[in-house]
Amino acid sequence: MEAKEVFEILVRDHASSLMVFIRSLVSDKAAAEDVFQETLLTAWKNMDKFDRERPFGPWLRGIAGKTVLAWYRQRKKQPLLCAEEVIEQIDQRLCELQGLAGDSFNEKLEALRDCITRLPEPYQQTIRLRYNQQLMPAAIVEQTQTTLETVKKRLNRARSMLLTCITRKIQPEGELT
Amino acid sequence: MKPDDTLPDPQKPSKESGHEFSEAMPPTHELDLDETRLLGALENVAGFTPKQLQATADAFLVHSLLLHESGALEASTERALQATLSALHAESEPSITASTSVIARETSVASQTRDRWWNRSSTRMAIAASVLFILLTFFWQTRLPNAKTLLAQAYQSSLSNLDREYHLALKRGEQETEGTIIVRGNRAFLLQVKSIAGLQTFGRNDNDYWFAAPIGPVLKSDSRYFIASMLHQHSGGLPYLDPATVIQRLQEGYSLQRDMVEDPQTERTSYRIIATNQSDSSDFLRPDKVTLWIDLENSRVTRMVLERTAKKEGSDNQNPSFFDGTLSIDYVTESNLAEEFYRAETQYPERAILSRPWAAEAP
Repeated sequence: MEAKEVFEILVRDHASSLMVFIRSLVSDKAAAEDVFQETLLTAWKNMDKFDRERPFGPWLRGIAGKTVLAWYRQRKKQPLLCAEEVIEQIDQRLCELQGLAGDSFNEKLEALRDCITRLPEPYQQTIRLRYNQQLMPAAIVEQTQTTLETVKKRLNRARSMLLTCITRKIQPEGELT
Repeated sequence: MKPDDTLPDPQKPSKESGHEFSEAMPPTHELDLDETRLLGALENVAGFTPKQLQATADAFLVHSLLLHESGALEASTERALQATLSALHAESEPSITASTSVIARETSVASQTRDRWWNRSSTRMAIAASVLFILLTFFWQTRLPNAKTLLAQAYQSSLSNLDREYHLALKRGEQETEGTIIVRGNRAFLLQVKSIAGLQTFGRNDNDYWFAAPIGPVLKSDSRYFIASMLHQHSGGLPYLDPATVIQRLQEGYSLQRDMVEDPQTERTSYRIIATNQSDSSDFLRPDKVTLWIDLENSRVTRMVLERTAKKEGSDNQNPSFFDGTLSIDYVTESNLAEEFYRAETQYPERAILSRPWAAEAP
């Protein structure tokens, strides 16, 4: 199997988690795609430096983190919008997520789906409206007949609860990332 | 964050709601982030406390995971992936001598590549689309198979009629036992174990099992208990475990994870499966953890590492000392041997052969 083919297989296997990582740090969709592409191209150019006995995911995220920082630095009109601590924290969380049951990243996120169903109904509803129907908080207010403040609190609390729920499901023996 | 009067507090058990999750919710930090901040660019986090930073990072990640879960990132990921892979196919191989930092040239490389593919003439775009179509078909076949598929392919490969030789090494503390096994699927084997007394040989063919000590007659039986007994007494702890049998056992009761890494033995990129026992069974042939390296091209198992720790007292394991430790099985070579190779008469033509029908019962 040629190097490019191996690279493609690895990249395909990690594409979803890489995009989640990047979108955690870069909220603009187009910019996130740019960073994603730049990350992969950099990874390919540096494949000779990749220790193939080590997991591919963290290495890829390491490049992505640097690419994100470079992307922010290039836009000097904005303040320094990103911190290495935040990048490290998200990377660490994604490493932990590998301990979830399942083969692919999507299968591992079965835990998240399960956690969503365990949310109290008002939280579930708000999450569904916000993410599945991609409504902005103001639109959710109209749907739920609540206040904007309530919607925001529900979203924040729901995210917090989901994180706690997923963290509980993580198996300590997860090794592959 | 102030309590939200309109909601049941998720940090307090709610008998009415009956939601297991809300009852299990421990005191934890609130992700006190405004939704609009999440949707905008990252804030300047310079003045944040470590706890605030952690909460910020977690909030961003959960937000992103939810976006992914809703399918909102799917098209974006696919689009960026295809653009990159197409660009890679248009480029030459990476420079092995490249020594600049990871980040140093990423912008120019990426920008130039995207310019080449996305920002030029419509003719080029049409060609690019055609190439993309072909590549898409190709890429479909280059996905990393899931662990069960890999295991099934490795199992099929291990059942082939070829004769594969593996080197065995069992480590138990400071003690190490080595041996060699030649297997044909799961129906014939020749296992040779080095001992102080000399070479102990165990064999199996379509008709019988046999054992040859360094000296003396060859013992033969048609009972698998016979060979199990001989192994227990003479193999120094090495079990008979051919790849086919191991893989077959991994298909039930093990959690599987897979990736692609370099096989430390062959130094080639391989599939790797890590199987962790989830069963409470005390079966001595069930290792706690098995790591397999599988050849990308032909699904042949090139390496297996089986780890098993001693069972606690009270276990129904009859042989608590049997195969405790780490057993490595490394592929050596492959050949086409005659059926007779696995017969005692072929290996030891000069020795007497004694049948042991009395050993046909379980030890």
